[in-house]
Amino acid sequence: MEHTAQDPHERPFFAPSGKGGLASWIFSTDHKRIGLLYLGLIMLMFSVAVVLGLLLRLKLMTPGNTLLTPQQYNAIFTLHGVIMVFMVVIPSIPASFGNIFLPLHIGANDVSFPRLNNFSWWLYVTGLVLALVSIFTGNGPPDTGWTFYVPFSEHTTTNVSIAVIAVFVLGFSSILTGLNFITTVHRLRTPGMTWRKLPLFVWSLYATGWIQVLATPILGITALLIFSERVLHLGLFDPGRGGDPLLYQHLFWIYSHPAVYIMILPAMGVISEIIPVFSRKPVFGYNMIAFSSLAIAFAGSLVWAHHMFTSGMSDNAVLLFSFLTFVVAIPSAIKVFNWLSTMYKGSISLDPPLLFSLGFILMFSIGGLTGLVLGSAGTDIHVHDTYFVVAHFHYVIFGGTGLGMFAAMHYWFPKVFGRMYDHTRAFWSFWIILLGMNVLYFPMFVMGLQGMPRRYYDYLPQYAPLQMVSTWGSWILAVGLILMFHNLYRGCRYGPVATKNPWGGATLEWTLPTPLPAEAFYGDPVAPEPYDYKGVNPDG
Amino acid sequence: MVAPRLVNVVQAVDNTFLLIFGLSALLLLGITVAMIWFVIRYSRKNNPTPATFSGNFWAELIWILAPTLLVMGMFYSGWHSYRALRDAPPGAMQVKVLAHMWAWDFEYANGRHSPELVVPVGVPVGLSVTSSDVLHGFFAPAFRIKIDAVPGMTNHAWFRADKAGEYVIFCSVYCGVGHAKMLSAIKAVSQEEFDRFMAGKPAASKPDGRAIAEAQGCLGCHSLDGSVIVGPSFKGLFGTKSLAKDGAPVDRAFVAALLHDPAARLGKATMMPAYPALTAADREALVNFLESLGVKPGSAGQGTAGGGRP
Repeated sequence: MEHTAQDPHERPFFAPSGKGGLASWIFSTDHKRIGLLYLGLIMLMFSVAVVLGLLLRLKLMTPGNTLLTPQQYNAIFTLHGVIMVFMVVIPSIPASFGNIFLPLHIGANDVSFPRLNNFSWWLYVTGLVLALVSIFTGNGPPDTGWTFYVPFSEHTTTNVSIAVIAVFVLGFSSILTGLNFITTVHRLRTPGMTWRKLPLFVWSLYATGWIQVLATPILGITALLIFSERVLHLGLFDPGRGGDPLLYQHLFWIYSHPAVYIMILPAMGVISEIIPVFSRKPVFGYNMIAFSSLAIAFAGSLVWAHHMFTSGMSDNAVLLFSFLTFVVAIPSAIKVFNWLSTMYKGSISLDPPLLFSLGFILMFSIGGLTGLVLGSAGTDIHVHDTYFVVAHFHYVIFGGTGLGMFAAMHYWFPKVFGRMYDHTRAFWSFWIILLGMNVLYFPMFVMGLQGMPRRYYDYLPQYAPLQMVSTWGSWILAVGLILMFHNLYRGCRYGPVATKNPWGGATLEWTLPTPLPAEAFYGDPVAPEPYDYKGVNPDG
Repeated sequence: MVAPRLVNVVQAVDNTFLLIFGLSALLLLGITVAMIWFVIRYSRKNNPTPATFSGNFWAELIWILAPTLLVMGMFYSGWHSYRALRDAPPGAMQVKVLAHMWAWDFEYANGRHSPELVVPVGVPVGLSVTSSDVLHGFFAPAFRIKIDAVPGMTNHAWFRADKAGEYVIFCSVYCGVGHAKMLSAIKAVSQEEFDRFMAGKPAASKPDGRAIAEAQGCLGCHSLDGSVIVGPSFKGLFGTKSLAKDGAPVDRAFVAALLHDPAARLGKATMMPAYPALTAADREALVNFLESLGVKPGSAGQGTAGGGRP
């Protein structure tokens, strides 16, 4: 054993070779180690932001000045948003599982630019540190909301300047990851891996990469402009200096709307992998799913101003952006129908990864359908900036991307860690999380329709009962999350040793030893049909 | 027969809500039932041998066409109701709305100012909305209207109250520490009552410092009980050393200069907005109010911090 353990094709990628130690991780150019580094930090930041969210819900359980001062409340919802959006959800699946499995899916031993990949991670760490600095220095943590709307963000005395620099740096981390993925998909596919043989996860990351590369620079520019406004008083956005606040909103959403597709597309890719594997049936409408990823990436870049229907922009702009918003709903609907069609007449085994994926479909459908209310001009006016919007994006991003991420964790867990978690506990954690999410967020739809504005630390008594229910939901959700992470941690430490292909996947990573070896392929592997399960069976 | 211009806007918007929610509920039900049914009917036990097809031209065509038709219908309905929200009937009564941190000011054609929007029942009201500091949002849920108050820009909305009553106004765009307290009301009253309101003297003719401090949103940052919200508490403030760079005491001249241009007077960046529109009488009343809190701090325990507005 000792002898073969030194063979990089046998030795697990996380086992030390030579010196080992911290430096062999943080300076690693191995895509698998970098993916795991990302996963660890992302989950750490996720936990921090969840705690902040629980604190917000606890304050909102009852009306009045309780628990938090208004200023503390404003700082906490800002931090919750900034951390969740820029440090958790945007890097989530691409930076962790994308890094680990995109090269393996196409038969490559690493990404095109491994050192750049390590640099991306360092930029991510730098962004985290800067964000921490902004919390503890100056006149306190930013209180602008994650949107940094001007002129408020120019005038507030809190530490917005450093926070936007953090966002700028995090943006570059995202751009470089996207660039790396695009290049890798173009250049490093194993011979025979034609574009129509790419796993759909790769297609979704490829589409995501283009959004990262094309849209994120706008975020960088916008962050720098806020910084310049605050420090140099340029007068671009401040009407007092002849600037235009709506210009800021356009710049911000030109990135931040496509950003929601950076968040959701990789999760859709994960779901497109999991459903056929557990249905033992080729994915239905491969071309359409792959094409709809590109269509979402393209059309999603043209709908940003639907965040601005009440801003005072022209009615013609409202007409156009409302129309385009409905257009972008179509490829998402196509994906959902194709996933269902994949299950039709399959041979379905309801294992934890599939369960989380079906949870994704349910929650994403609710989030997507309520998005139609927001895309429709007349109804958006009423629910814009209310709890309805808060509910909508938590259904899409937490119910969608979050459950997609959890599905990915349960799907690839045995392959990455070489051990298996407890299935019964995974089932329980799923149902508790699903229940918690719905009790937490569904009342927000109702409150939003009743007019409850977002970002209020206090509210009228008429909203008190539903606010209370929503807070109960946050506790149920917390229990589910703790159970799930505990189960995964236990599995990782003490779980039974996993086999090579426990689910019967046909993509290339399942041909590799478990846990993943440091060096994946000997030469160029033969490109498989990614969704042909003839002769591929789950172990055992 | 009601003229087409006077369509019930609330009804038009709600019809769009019903259309989208109705279709969405059907779709969601279909998706969920299909998921559950497939998991049971095609479980590995019930269907050990999976089918092998990977597509179907007609099904895929329907997957494209069905959602396209549905969303285009929703788009049209949404646009239709949006038009109703935007097209104010000609001859609507015009009110200027000024939002500032953290209060509303409504100015009528005859120059009358009010912190609440009093309107006659059945009369269309056109609003010209702007802000003097940061973004705010005028949101009256009962009338389904919402429009941002943007400094340097005037935005428009209109509504018609068909029933007498009091309807809440929220600030919908986050604007800082007083955002959740930036509430007001639309009071729909009979024409006679409205005429009396319009003929009445402006509220500030007998300036009451405390009322001004509340109406101008001062109390969002400055408490009356000694607790610190954002700025220093008003309690016992008058006569003490100010936070200005030059360390000047809080006196009449200081407060006047501060209200005119806070950053200039303090000599450093501040969250406090300027109040250049405050009349001399109002400023006088405000300073008197501060003085009354400063001289005898023990007697100033009235009221609670920040909140307390109905």
